[in-house]
Amino acid sequence: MRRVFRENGRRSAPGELPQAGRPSTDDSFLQAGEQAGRWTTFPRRGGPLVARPASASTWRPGSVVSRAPGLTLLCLLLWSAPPLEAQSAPNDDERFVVIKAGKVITISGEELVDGVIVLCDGKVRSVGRNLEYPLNARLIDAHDRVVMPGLIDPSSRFGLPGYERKGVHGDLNAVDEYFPPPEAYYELLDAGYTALALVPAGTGIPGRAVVVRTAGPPDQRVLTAAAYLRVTADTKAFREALKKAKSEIEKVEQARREHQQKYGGTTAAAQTQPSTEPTSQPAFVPPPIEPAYQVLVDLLQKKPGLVALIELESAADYVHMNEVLREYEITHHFLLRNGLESDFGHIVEALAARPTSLVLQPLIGRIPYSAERIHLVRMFAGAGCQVSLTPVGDSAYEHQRMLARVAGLVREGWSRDEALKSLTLHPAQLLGLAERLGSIEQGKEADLIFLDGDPLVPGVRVREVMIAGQMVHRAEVAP
Amino acid sequence: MNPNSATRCASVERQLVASRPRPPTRADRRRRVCGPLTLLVALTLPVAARGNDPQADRPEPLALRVAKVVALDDADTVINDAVVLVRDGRIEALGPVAQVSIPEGYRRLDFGQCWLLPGIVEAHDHSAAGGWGDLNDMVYQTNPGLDTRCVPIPDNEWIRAARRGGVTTVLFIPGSGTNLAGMGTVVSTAGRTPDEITLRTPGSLKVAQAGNPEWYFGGNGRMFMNWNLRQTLRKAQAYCEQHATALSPRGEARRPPPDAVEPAVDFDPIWDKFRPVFARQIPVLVHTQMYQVVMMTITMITGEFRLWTVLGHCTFNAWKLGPVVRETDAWVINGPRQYEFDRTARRMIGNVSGWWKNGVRRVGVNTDAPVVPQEELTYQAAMACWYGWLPYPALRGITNITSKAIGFYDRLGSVEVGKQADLSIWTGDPIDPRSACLMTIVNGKIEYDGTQGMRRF
Amino acid sequence: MRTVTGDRALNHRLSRGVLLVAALYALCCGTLPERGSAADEEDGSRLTLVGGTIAGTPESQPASAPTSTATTTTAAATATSSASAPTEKHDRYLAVVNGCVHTITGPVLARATILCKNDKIVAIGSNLPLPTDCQVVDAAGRDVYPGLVAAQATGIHGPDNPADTTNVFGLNMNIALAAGITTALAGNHVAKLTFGSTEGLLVRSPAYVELEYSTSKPLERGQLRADLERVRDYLRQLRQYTLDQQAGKAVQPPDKEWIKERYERYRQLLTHEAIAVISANTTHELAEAAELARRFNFHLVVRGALEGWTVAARLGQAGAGAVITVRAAQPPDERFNRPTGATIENARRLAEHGVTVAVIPPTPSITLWGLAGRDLLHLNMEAAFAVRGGMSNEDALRTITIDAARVLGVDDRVGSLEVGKDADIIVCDGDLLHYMTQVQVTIVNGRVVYDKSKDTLFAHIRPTGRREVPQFDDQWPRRLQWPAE
Repeated sequence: MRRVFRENGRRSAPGELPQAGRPSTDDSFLQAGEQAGRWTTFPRRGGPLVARPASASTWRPGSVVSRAPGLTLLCLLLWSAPPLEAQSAPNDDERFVVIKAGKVITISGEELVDGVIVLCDGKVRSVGRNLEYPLNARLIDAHDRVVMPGLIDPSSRFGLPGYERKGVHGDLNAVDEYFPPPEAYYELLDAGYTALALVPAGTGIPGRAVVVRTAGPPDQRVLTAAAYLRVTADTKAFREALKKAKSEIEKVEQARREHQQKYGGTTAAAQTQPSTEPTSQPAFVPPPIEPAYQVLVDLLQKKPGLVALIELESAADYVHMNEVLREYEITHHFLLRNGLESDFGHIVEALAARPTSLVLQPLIGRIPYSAERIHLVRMFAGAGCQVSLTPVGDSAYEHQRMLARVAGLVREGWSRDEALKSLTLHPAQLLGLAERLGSIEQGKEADLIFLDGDPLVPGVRVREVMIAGQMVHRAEVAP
Repeated sequence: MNPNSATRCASVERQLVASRPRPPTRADRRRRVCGPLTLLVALTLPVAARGNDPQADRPEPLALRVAKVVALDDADTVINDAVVLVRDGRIEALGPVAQVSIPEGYRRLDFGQCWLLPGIVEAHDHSAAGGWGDLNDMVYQTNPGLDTRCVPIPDNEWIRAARRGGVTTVLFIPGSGTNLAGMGTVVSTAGRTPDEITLRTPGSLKVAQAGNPEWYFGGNGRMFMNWNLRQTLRKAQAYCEQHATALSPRGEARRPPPDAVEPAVDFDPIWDKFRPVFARQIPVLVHTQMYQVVMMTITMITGEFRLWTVLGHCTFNAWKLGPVVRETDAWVINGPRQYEFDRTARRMIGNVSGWWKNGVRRVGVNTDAPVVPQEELTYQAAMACWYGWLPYPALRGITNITSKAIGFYDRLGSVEVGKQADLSIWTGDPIDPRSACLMTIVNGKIEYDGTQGMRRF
Repeated sequence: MRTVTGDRALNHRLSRGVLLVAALYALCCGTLPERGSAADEEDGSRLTLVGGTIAGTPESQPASAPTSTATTTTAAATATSSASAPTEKHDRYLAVVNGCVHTITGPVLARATILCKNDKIVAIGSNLPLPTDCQVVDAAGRDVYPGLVAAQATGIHGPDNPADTTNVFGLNMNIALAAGITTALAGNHVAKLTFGSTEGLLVRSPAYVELEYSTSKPLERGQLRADLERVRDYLRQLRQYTLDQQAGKAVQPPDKEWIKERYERYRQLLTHEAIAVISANTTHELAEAAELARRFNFHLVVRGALEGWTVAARLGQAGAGAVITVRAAQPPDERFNRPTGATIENARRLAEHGVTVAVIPPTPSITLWGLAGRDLLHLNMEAAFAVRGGMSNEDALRTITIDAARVLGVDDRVGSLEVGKDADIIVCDGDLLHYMTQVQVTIVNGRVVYDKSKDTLFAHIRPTGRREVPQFDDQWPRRLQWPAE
């Protein structure tokens, strides 16, 4: 699907993305953001998405809260019958916040009825029942709420335009497309999503993902600027890209050997960066590696923390991709686009036999050419894979439906604990943010959502969202 | 009349005229006409005489010795080591070799290990026209009054191929581009002139319930098609009910004699063709498939109008109507599609197998030639067996059943004494593609001899 | 074409001397375990040379009584199993037991077992001792054939390099395996139908050198002849240079810089490393193609060969192969006095004159729209039509097995059931050329990839495999009192 991208009033050619991938000093893009409402994104599945217009005509508490938390609290005090009340007067020491919840779903531990969460500086200090907390802590009464970690979407293009691009672009990063207007993620917050991994569009190797928060202080929005490398289901392209990356490594090694032969002496252990230590002989300057392939080189050299997320459209894709992965060993996870009809049932055993994280869509589809349904999520989870869930497509609607869909999966035989983990902890682990997010544990950040009931009961809504210890969103409730 | 000679004379005549240097006189004009006219009369006389005299061109009597005769009659007769005597276009005698003595003057043909069957009968053919043209005249959504009697081209290449496959009789019908395409014609695969090949005209009515006529106007629905078809048939029915006079043996309408006491009813050349249809003397062959469409056919054609119905195609999931169809007297002639890929259960379901297992016994197969070549009718039966049918009913389904479906069973369709000698001789089980047809006899005459030289099929 | 197996009709008489020799040979093989096992690791075809005599060697033929063969094979098999040393990778064993084995290049064994190790056949015989962890496929009462070879197939494998693009879980592949097809020509690659994996998928690539030699393009024809002539000259010079070098003369090698792209392909053609394919249907085209092959002495396969029967002798003399559709129908052209048009006897006449005939159906793909018997699902029926044209059942079976493999240049690996060949086996519920026979089990590279009873496609059709087979006897055809299904 072609998308003409407007920038500075100039029509760019389809596929040519102005400024993306390169830092832009031209902020007319932001003015163009005024017309953000007229952008439409074309996700793979689901309908077109209309981003929120920048010039919102209606006031929303979320926007105010994110800008002035203190002021919000004041308003709350003055506002009659608020669902949450500050029980103590605001004081200078805002460090400690205590949440007294009707139920706390910690994800990593037990579910606590009448649980207490103590936050300090936006991080969880302790969680349990009947905990001690400082007297001057700000108290949040959530006795009629269920508190759980915010949901994390491990792969999304929400709010971003679609475009076609092919080839290897390992140097591109979705962070360069990330210029959200303030209310961009309102619907996601309503849906309970506190973090998203945004990926570049295209096929082949489009680039790296960025993990962002859906709200919160601007300096804390971007969680990881360069997360996993996105690889789509094009086996041939991937193989060729890895081959090229390997040849680049060879090229550097060859140059190093030549340098050694020429000048003798010792050089530092194999590295692709030029050495900064002064030496008597001319320093070895490795030939530059093509920027697009640098990340593949890093993957091949097993740089810690770098992982590829490989997308698969069908079971045969796995078989072909496996050939490539056997030839070039890299750290990887899989994203399976299981839809209403998918044949991934063929590879359950194969995937279970290897330690792997999977991203799946929360659908129970059919076996191809048949009316027989197959609960792939349960099968993979039951076989021992670590399953994360991503919404069906990139629309706000699907994000909002997520809990309902997961409830359906659980009802058809999946374990509730696994289901809740797949929305929170497993995505955090996949994205390498397990120390910061994904569960309510000591030391993790306070990205929490407050629901007015059990998350897997239909009709239950997210009422409030807290990010980094700050209340950032309150849902609008019909009177 | 030999058309070639007429045109040749005409062209010669034109040349003569062109070369004349002087203007023609009256005598010249008379001479000009008389010469070719005499020639024409001279040429046509023997032919005309021959046509009138059935004794002139009688085939020689045959004595066929075969290893097995599968008579495919209603008694399921099978005779091993049999002799069949053929004389004057009819089966004179049939029995084990010990019981049938071969008289003098009979040409003896010993076929060793071969099987003898009735000539194969096709109930759904479009290839007698010799090509893809003349299949449909899509003038209106329903075209009553159209007739295919002049469409079949005798001895065209496709018909010759049909003979090589043992096929002796076909019901040639117009296509399914419109809901009512006209009248079909029952033709023999042997014969060199239209008169020789035509066995019955009108042979059948042709109706296409759905599944092609939608595109006549570029998009019609079944609502309109069914309504329109019903109106047409009702008009025909009303006309036919007014005409109570008998039909000629050939099924053609006869005008009432001038002194008849019946009420004078206007003769309508279009509706008059329908009289044998509503008198249940000829069938209506309905192109129909899919559950809903066949249901409509059964309801309208068989139920409402009470016509003698031959359901053509009956493919896709129409077999699910087996319990309904078996309670009627409709015939199911399935083809050319033999299976349906059921996408809700990931299964290949054989159509005929479905009909059979649901209790329908009046079931056969067709080729819808030239979609499947006419000579492969026996192979269609084989494929139906692969998908779950049984071999003997399959043999019946291309001889006995189809000839009954088109109303010719009294004349052909089984090997019985007294019937027309339409026979086919095979090297073995006829529906096994490994068996070849060695000889096809139509009306007692050898129309295809595969024993000499190279066989094309 | 590499021809490992004899493709003549086999003589089943065995002299006692040969049997004795064979038994002695088996004994020798049995007493040399170490050497046998070392070769075992690399190539399973090394072992059981005795097993090879069942089907391979033209001179020594096994006894008509299977028992004598069995003893030799048993001895060899025992030797094998004791000889194979344990490897770090676990060996996979599969046995198809008690079936009527049609080896195609050898005799029909009424009741035999085929033992496969990994992806090769290691033993064929009766009463074979099986390894403990062997997967057993029961073929009692069934007929066992080699996997069928489709000399042309579209829609089963992916485009370009099938190893990269094939949907190995695709419905088309599933249906083709239900038809018994285990090897197919996809584009210009010979590939197997390895359902569920890409291991061992590609067999030979590229399969052919495509030559354009149509009479409607005289310039291209002349160019082709000129190019072939040039390459042939080069090869002559190369040979001369080699001889001169051996004789000690100081000579320059002939220039070979220009031998690339199409010239490289022609070079492979003339050195018999490659096979050429020409599409030709008319008498004249076929005669020209045969003449070209004879003149330049390369392996030729003609595609189509509708009128091949008119020039069968020439094609046979050129040693050509032909990929034909038996049922291709074309009426004779009345304008000519010479024979024209298509005939059902085409396959037989070509085979009689020594042409290697491979048979494909009218639609060489898998179709789902309902017309039965015209696509790859009924490849065996096309061979049955060849019998209609006068071929024997055995020869007709060859056109979809060993001869088709030969035409594709892979007859050293597939196309018959012999020790050392790939374990591509199909188990059918009757004579493969009968119109009611269905495949029950398909094995590719030693793995069961299709099981009729477990696959939803055809499991409901005659599930027990028992059917009312018309026998040529006094009782056929039956009356209408059928036994309950």
